[in-house]
Amino acid sequence: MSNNRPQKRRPFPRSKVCRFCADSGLRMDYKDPGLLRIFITERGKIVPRRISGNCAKHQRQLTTAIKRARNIALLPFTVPRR
Amino acid sequence: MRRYEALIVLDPDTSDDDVKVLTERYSGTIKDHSGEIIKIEDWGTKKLAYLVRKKDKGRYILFDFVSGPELINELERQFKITEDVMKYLSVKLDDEVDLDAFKAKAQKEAVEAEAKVAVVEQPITEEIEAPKDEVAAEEQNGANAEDVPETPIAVSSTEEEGE
Ligand SMILES: [Zn+2]
Repeated sequence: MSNNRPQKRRPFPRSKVCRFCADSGLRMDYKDPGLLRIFITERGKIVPRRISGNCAKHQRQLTTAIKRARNIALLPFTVPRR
Repeated sequence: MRRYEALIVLDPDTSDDDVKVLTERYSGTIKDHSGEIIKIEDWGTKKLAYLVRKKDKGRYILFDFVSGPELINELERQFKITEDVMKYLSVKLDDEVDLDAFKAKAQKEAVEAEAKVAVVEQPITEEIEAPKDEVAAEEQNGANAEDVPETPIAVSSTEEEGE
């Protein structure tokens, strides 16, 4: 990362390229919570694509997959504060 | 015919015998509605991401099958009235599956996957898919091992969860 302007600390490093476009073998699947977890915050929210760098198409597929995983209890809806 | 997938979460206290009974009941329902089972996976008891009926674990069973759309209503009705089924989710994977072409294709892919495994170590993402294909192939091995054409058959779209 050559971008080191003094900025507010971001919880996620911005990424420029869509990982799913870069790696075509990477498949979005609601049955693979391990992969989907990369794209949710520790509070369980879906990381917006301006942060994750996903393209619109893949972000759409991703949200569908995450919501399905939530529905079947593979991913949390929220992670409550202790 | 369409390709569907139904994932159910059973109560973690369900005995193995009962799990077997339920699995057989649902596969029976699928067959009764002239569906074709591609595979059934038992993921075992997994930790849930949140409490369901005050339980933090659940037994995941996955049904992968090809059938007409009417079956889903019936299957979900049964899930709903079964006490042990805590959660269920059915997903359409593919519209318009030609069953014979599909079988042939699964067979072909399995052969290719096996060949790949033999040559190089596969990246993680592919390893997950390989066993699926093998299971599907095993079911069909006896049926049409001989008459699989070499040329790929035009199956409409193999994209999962079509756009
Ligand atoms: Zn993309």
